Amino acid sequence: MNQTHRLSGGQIDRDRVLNFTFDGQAYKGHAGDTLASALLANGVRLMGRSFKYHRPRGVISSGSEEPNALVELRTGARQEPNTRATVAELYDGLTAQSQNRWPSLAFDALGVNDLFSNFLTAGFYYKTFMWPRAFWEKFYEPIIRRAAGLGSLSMEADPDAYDKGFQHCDLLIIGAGPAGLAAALTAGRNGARVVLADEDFTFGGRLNAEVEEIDGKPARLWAADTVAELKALPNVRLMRRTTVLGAFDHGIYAALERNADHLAVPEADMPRQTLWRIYARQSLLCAGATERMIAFQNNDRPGVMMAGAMRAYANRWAVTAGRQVAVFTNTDSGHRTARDLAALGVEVVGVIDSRPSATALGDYPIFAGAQVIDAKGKLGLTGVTLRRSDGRTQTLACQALGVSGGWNPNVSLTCHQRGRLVWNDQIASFVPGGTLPQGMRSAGAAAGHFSTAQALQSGIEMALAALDSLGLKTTPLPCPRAEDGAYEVTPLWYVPEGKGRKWLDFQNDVTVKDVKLAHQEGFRSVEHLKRYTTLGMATDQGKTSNLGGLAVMAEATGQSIAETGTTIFRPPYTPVALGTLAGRAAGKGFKPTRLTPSHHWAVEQGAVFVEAGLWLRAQYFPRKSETHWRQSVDREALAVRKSVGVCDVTTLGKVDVQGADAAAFLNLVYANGFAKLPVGKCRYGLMLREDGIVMDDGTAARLAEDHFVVTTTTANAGPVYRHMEFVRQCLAPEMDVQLISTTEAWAQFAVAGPNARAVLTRIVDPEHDLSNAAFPFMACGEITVCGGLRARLFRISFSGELAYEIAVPSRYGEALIREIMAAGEAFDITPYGTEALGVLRVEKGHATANELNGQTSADHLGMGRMVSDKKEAIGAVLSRREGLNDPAGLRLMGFEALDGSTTLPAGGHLFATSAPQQGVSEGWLTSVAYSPHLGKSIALGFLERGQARLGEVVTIANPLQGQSLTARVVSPHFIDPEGERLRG
Amino acid sequence: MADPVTQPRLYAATALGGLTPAVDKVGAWTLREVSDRAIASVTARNGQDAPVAQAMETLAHGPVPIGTLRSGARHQVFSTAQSQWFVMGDYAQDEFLAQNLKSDLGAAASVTEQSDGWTVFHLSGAPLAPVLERLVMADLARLTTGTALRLLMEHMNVFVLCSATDAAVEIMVARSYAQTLHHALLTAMKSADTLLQGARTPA
Amino acid sequence: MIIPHPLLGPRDAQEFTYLGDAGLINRPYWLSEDAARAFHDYLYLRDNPAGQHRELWFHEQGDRSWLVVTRDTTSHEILSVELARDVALARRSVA
Repeated sequence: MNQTHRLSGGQIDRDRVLNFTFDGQAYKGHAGDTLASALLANGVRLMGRSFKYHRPRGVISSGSEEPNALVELRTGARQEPNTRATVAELYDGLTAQSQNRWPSLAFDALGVNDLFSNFLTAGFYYKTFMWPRAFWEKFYEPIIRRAAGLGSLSMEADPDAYDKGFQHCDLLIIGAGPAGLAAALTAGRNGARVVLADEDFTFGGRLNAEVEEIDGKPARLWAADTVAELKALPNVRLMRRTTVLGAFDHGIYAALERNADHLAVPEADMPRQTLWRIYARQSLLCAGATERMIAFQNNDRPGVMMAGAMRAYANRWAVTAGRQVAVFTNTDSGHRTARDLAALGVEVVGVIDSRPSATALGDYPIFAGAQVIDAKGKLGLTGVTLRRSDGRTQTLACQALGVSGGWNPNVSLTCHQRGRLVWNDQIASFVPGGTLPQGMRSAGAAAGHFSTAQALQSGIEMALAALDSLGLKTTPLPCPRAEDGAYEVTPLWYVPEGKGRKWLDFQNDVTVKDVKLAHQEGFRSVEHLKRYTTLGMATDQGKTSNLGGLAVMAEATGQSIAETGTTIFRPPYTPVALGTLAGRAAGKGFKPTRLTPSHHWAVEQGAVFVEAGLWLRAQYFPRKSETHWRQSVDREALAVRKSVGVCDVTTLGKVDVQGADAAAFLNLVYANGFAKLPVGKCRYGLMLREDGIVMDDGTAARLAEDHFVVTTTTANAGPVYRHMEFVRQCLAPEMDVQLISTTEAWAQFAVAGPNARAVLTRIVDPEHDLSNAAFPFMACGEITVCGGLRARLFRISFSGELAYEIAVPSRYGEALIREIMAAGEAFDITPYGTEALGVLRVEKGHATANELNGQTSADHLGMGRMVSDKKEAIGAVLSRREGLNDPAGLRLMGFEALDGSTTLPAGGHLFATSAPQQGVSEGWLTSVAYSPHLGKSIALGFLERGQARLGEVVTIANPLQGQSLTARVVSPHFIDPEGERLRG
Repeated sequence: MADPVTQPRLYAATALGGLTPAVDKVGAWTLREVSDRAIASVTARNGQDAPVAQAMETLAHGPVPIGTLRSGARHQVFSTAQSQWFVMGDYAQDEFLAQNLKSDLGAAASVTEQSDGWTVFHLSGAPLAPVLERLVMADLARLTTGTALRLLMEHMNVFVLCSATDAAVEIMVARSYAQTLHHALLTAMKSADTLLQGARTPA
Repeated sequence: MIIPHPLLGPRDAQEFTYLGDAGLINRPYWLSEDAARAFHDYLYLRDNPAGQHRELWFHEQGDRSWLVVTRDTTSHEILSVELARDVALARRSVA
C-alpha cells in the first residue's frame, strides 16, 4: 500500500518522506501532510467509530472542526486522546490509534449498539437505568462509564512543560486567510503593533485550498509573499499554530501557541505549548467560514465529506478521497470541487445539485434539481443513490462524496461577551450582530463576505477602521485583484426522503429524528434542544452541526431560524489541555515557596519541614536515635521549659507603623488601648473585625514616639495588612500615619526557657543591660549584637517561659542562629520547630488561628474586658451585641484526658455526659497536643458556660471516626497560670 | 552619621543561601544575584510631599515621579506609589542608609531599612523581550530605560526596574521568595532560548 | 478585566483584591444614639444592582492604594476610578 491516492501538485514536500503508523499498520507520507491527508493518500477511509452507536466513520473536514477522525496520538506518557487527525501535523515516527472501538476499527463489538438505535434515541438515559434504584451505583453506572467517553489517558505524569506569556498590541488579527493577511499588511505598513494568529501551520487559510489567482499569481504565492513582507516588519508578530481561544473583558484574549506538538518530542527545555494573554486595543476576527452538511440517509458513511475539504485535500495535499468521486450541493461552491478534481485527473461521476436551475462549471455529469437519498457501504462508501428531477432514482458508484450545504461564518468569538448574532438571508446563515466584544470587528467570510475580493477588501477596510479608532493616521492600501463571484445558496438542511437516520452531529450521534423527537417531547427552545439531544455538546462544539439542528427545530416549530436563535458560544474555541492552563504552576511549582533565613541551617540539622501557607518551616528536629515524631517534639518542648530552646519566628507578619498619629491609629485598629503605651514597651493587641468577631492578635512594640512594629499571625499577615491600609486610607485618611511591611527585612528568633537570658547575654553586646530590672517582661528596644550589628530585642513570650525574640537584618539570620546555638551549647540549647511551638502555647493557653476562626468574639476567648468602651475602635460597637456576650455562651477552656494513653480528637464536639450526642453540641475542641509536662493529651476548646463548669467531666463526640470519649474541663492555662516564669 | 567602628562577627548569606551571589548564563542572557545593595523606603508624612520629593530629586540628580527609576552619583531612587520612594545604594558604602536618610529627613518622612527585605536579580542580554514576555504582564514597549514597575509575576509581588531598554532590568522580590523567583527566571530564559534556536532551524 | 488606575494607568485586575460596596467608607459614628443599628446597617445591608456599582478594590500587587471603582456589573464596563483616600477625605469635608 503505497500512497495510492496521491495526485500531482500540492504543498507537500515530496523530498521528505515520513513514516507513520495507524492502528499498528505502517504507512508513508510527506512533510506538509496532516495525519488525515496522509491516511487518505494511502487509501484509508475508516478512521474511527462514533460515540454512541459505534458507527464506522471517516474524516469529513480538513480543519479543526473535525468531528469524526479523532485519534489517540503517541504512546506512553505523551499519549493524548481525541486528537483531530485533520490538524495533527505529520512527523517521522508518528503513531496513532483509532478510538472508541474494540477489538478493532473494522470489527467493533459495540457496533451492536447500532442495532438498538430505536432504544438509544435522544435523552434515552433520562428514561432508563432508573429501576431498581440499587442497580444504578453497582451495575448501570460502571457499565455506562466503561462504554462512554472517547479516548483514554495514559495515566502517567505529563513529561512536558507549558509556558504562559503576555503580549500587547494595537491590533490582534485572528485568522490569516485573505482577509487577515490583507488586514495585517494594511495595519503593519501603517506602523501599528500587530499580532497575526492562525491555528494552521501555514498562513493563507482557504487560499491554500483553492485554485485561484490574486493580482495575477496563484493565490497561495500571494499569501507566501505577503507573509514574507510581514515577517520583515518589526511591528508585526506572526504566530502560526496559534489558536485564539476566547475573547475576554476589556480586549483581553487567550491564545494557545503549539510550540512543539509537531515534533516527535520537544527539545530539552522547550515548552510544548504557550498560553498567551494578549492585551489588544483593537481586534479583527478573520476566522473564515466552515462548510455545512446536507443530512440524508446514511450520510455518515466513511467517504462522505465536505466538498470544500475534498478539494482542499486535492489542491493543498495532492490527495484524492476516492478513485471515483461525486458531489452533492445546493450552492456553486460544490461545483468547484468537481472542477478541481477533474482537472487533476480524478473521475467525477456527477454533481447532484438540489437547485433545478444549476449549471456545471466544467465537463462532468450534472444532475440538477436532484437529491442524494442514500449512501451505501458500511466500512467505506461504495455508491450513492439519488432521486432525479424526473422522479426516478439512480445509483452512482463512487468512493467519496463531497457535500456542500453552504458555509457558516465562524462567529464564535464575537459572542464570547454576550453578543447575539444576526440572520443573513443572502447566505442563509448567522453573521456577527451589533454588540461585539470591546474593540472587535469582523472581516471576510467571518462577516459573511464570501468572495476572495470581498475578503481582501473588508480586511483592508476594517484594519483602517481599527487604526482610526486608535487615533493613528493611516494610508489605505490598494485592494489586490481577485475573484469576486456572487454567492448563491438555496437552503436544503436535510433530504426529507428516506426512513433511515440522517446525521446532524457526528460526534454525539444526533440525527434529524432526534431533533424532531425533542420537539415532540416539548424540548423546543434552542437551549433545551441542545441539552436534551446533546447536539453541539461534544469536543467539536457543533461546528458542523449546530445550524442543521436549528433548522430542523425551526421547521418543527414553524418559526424561522432567526427566531429560533442560537445557544451561547463560550471559550475555549477548540479543546485545550489542562496542563496548558496550569502552565508552570504544576506539581511543586503550583505556588511559590518561601524560605526562612535559617532554612539552610535547618536542612543541615536534618529538620523535617511543614508547609505553613507559602512558607516552609521546620516542624521538628529529629535526632538520629528518634524514630517517631513524638519523641522529637516531646524532647523539644521539655527542653524549652527545662533549659532553653531557639525557634525561627521570622514568618510572623511585621508591619512598620510610623507617623505623628501612629499611636492614635493603633488605638483605632486594636480593641484595647495603645495611645499611652510607653516607648520601649510591647503590648498584646486584640484586633476585631467590624462585626465584633476577633480577626487577629499580635503584639505592638513602641520603638519611638512615632514608631511601632506590629506583629500578626503568619497566616493573617496579608489580610491584616490589607485591613490596616483600608482603615488608614478609607476610614482615617486625615491621620498622619504610614505603613510598610518589614516581615522579610528582619530575621527573628525566639529564645525561650529559664536560661534564655544567660544565652542572650553572650550574644547581645555588653553595653545593653538585660537584667530583669533593665529589660522587664514586655520591654523592647533597638540594640546591637555580636560586635556591633544592629538588632531589635523584644521580651515577649509565646511559650510562657522567660523568653525573648531577637531580630537582625535577614542576611545575618543564618549566622545568628549559629551564634545562638554556640552560645547556648553550655545550656544544652535545643532548636525547636512548629510542633513544639504548638505544644508550648497550648500548655500556656495562647489562642491562635484555631481559636480565632472567624466565629469567636473577645468574650468567647475570655478577653471581653480587653475591649475598651472608652474609645473608638474597629469592631467595638458591634462586639457589645448581646449575642456575642451571652453569659451562657461559649468560653475558651482547657481540657485534659483522664489518663495518659487517650488522645483527644481536635475538632471533637462537646456534650454534658448526661446529654444525648446529637443536634447542636455545647462546644468543640480547637487545638490538641500531647503535653510531656503533664504526661497526657490536652486541648483548648470552646464550651458553653465553660467557666462555671471547671472540673466537670464532659463527653467528646467524634462520630465521623466513630469515637466517643471523656475529658475534664480545666483552666486553659495548664502551666504556670500566674505567669511567674514570664516575669523573672 | 553613623560609622561602622567595630566589625560584627556575623557573616552575611545571600538570599539564595550562598556566601557569594549566583550567576547563571543561558544563551545571550545573564542572570546575576545582587547581594550588595542597601535599600531604604521613604514615605512622605502628611503635607510633606514637596520637601521629600525635593530630597529624592537631590539624591537622584533629577525628579523621581511615580513609575520612574533615576540614578544619582551614589544612589538610585525609584517610586511606584504616591508619596513613597525606595532609595538604593552600595551596601559596603551605605550600610546605614536608612538611619542616614532618617536623620536628614527628620519628621518629614517615615523611613525603614529594606536592604534585607528584598532580593535583587539583574537580568541582561539583548534582546530581552523574548524572556520578559514570558514573565511580565505589563506592556514591554513601555518598559524603557528609567521605568519602575511594581506588579505580579508568577504569583509573586515584584519590582521591575529597567536600566536599559530591552537589554537590562532588575527584578526585586521579597527575600524569602528568592529561590522560587530564581527558578522562574531561569525557566523563562531556557524556554526563550530553545524557541529562538528552533526558529533558526524551522520545522 | 483591566482597571484604569488614576496614577498608574491600566492594570490587570489580577493585581487587585476586591472588598465590596464603597459604602464601607461611610463608617457610622460610634457615639451616636443608634450606633448599634447604624453599624448593623453599615455592615449587613446592601443593594445588589444590575448596573452601575461603586466598589472598593485594593491594589495589593501594585501600589497598595485603595480605589473606588464605578463598574457596570452587567457588562464590566468601568466608568470611573478614584483614589479611595480622596473619596474619604472629600466626605470628611462635607460632613
